[in-house]
Amino acid sequence: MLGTQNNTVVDASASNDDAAAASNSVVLFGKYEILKLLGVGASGKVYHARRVDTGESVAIKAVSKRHLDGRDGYAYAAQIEREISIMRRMRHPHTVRLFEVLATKAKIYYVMEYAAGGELLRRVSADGRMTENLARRYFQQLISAVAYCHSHGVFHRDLKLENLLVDENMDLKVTDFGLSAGRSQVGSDGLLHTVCGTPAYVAPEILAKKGYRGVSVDIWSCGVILFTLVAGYLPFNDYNITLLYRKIYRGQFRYPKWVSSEFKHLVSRLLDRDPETRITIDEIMKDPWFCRGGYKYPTRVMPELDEDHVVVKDLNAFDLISFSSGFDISGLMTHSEYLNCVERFVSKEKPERILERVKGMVGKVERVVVRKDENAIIGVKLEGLDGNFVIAVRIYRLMSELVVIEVKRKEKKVGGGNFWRTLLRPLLLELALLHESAPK
Amino acid sequence: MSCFCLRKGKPAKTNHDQFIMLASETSFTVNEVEALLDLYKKLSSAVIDDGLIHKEELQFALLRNSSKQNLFVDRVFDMFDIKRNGVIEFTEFVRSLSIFHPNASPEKKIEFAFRLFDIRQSGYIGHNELKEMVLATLTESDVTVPDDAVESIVEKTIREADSNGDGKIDGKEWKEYVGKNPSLLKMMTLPYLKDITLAFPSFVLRTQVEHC
Repeated sequence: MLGTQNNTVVDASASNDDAAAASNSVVLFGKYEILKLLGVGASGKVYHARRVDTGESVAIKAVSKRHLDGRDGYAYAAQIEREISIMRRMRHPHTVRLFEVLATKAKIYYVMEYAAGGELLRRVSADGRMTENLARRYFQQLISAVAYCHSHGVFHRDLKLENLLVDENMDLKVTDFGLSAGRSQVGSDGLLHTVCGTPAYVAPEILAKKGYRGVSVDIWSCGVILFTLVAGYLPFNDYNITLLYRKIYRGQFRYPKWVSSEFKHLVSRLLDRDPETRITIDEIMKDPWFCRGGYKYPTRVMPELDEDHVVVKDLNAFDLISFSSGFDISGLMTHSEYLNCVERFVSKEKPERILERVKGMVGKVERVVVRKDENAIIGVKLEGLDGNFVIAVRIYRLMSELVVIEVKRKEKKVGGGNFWRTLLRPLLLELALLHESAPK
Repeated sequence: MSCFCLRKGKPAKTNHDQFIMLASETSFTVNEVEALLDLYKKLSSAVIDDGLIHKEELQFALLRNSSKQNLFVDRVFDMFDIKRNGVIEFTEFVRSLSIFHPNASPEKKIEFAFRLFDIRQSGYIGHNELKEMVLATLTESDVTVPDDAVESIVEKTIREADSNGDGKIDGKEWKEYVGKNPSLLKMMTLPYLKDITLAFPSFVLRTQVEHC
């Protein structure tokens, strides 16, 4: 249960280093002060901790490395590395972010975003359920996180209520990528082949052991989650696991009396036994129950540009020199799936005029939005709504009547550069002073 | 007295001892030093596979080509090559990069930047040196600025920074100038270094750290 941050009470007198770590005095690697044990899962313990230097709250999951010595040690090691690289890539307002990993000979520590509101389960009322309206809000956030992960080729495969946390604003945070599989694990038939998940949330095609698609099993689990939030009980439940699996396989469940017919319709499409005809993410987003009251898909799914927050207006000679890529040590670092670039143009146009031209052009393009740029006096941020890119266009005065247009881009290596290449760059070239020696 | 090592005359016996030493001297944890070793290995085998970073390899990493002469790559290389033996060793790599850590002290960054810009290592940055660097940058990045504009920008910058009026910028003046223009230290910080354990996670399996 990677990342579970629940409030399970444990025996704090257990004589191991984790229990000692739960006392106030322990500081991990001189960096994180352990505050309290949040929960215990199958693979490790989760603590609430605080960064010593910044005071920032984090959740730290400590996992034993003893499985590495076992028979499947090699596969387990590969799984750990894969899991870290997946979690590193996942940055979405409704998924728990991984900040750092630490390790000793005996343990691995995952330093993650802290979800101050705890488990979503604690948000249900005394009778164990939620109104449809409240459940809709969390379901919308869940679907946006799942859609994001799927579009990055990452399937959760163990979605369940215990993995849904909320932050201090009561917004959803999906955690536990412990069983996530990237596309690399897809077999030659395009199907996933590892049996995993938690019994009550497992899709029927997994039980059939014929291989399955990560997309459809996640959608099934979302259906179980939605049903449970509103009904107050699991759609499929039995103490006897054989009987439980039989119920799932047959798709046997009963709706409570109080649910709306739109709700029933959506759930029946989510818990469709046939993965081929089960509702898709796109269809969910158009479903009448899902859309009621309106839903704004969160667009801030891009990682921020890597930069500190120093706002500059005029450039001096040293600013110009620091443009050199020979001085740009960040070139030493490999960046995940995103490409980071900076390009600059010198122009005689007025800053306001340049911004006008950029905004005017973006206004004619679909799925690209203009945002305020907090790090610039004169500038805008452009974001692709598909999460493909973020571009900051900033204008600095070099001298009277001469400005530098700086363009910082972070874009997906695949398919992230089209807007820049075909629209924005040609526009800026038009505004720029041309290099005398540049070829025509 | 011979001096192979940097701590109390006791030679570093293993990699792990060396990592602990590096972590104690820098802003990195031992784990981060272990992760940096993977980055170092990658960079140091890009052109000549001998486990050391040569100038061509630094150039390749920074500019994506290893042949073109570049004033700034030369400077960065010289700064990293603390022992001045023509290669960047792992300890040199970690010590130099630590200055770029978001948590490193501004004083160290200011000092490093000054030495970087002092291309003739004369203890000051003069008009000609500054102009040479500006022109080199403009050529390299294909940005067009008219000649008279370059001249006046250089002149203005020297005038602003040169508080004792001798026509050049010394270390003390540089420090004051950076105080007024904090953006000049931007290039001295790599936010990405915070992310190094996630970028090179395989250390978690082979770390030699006994206790946290």
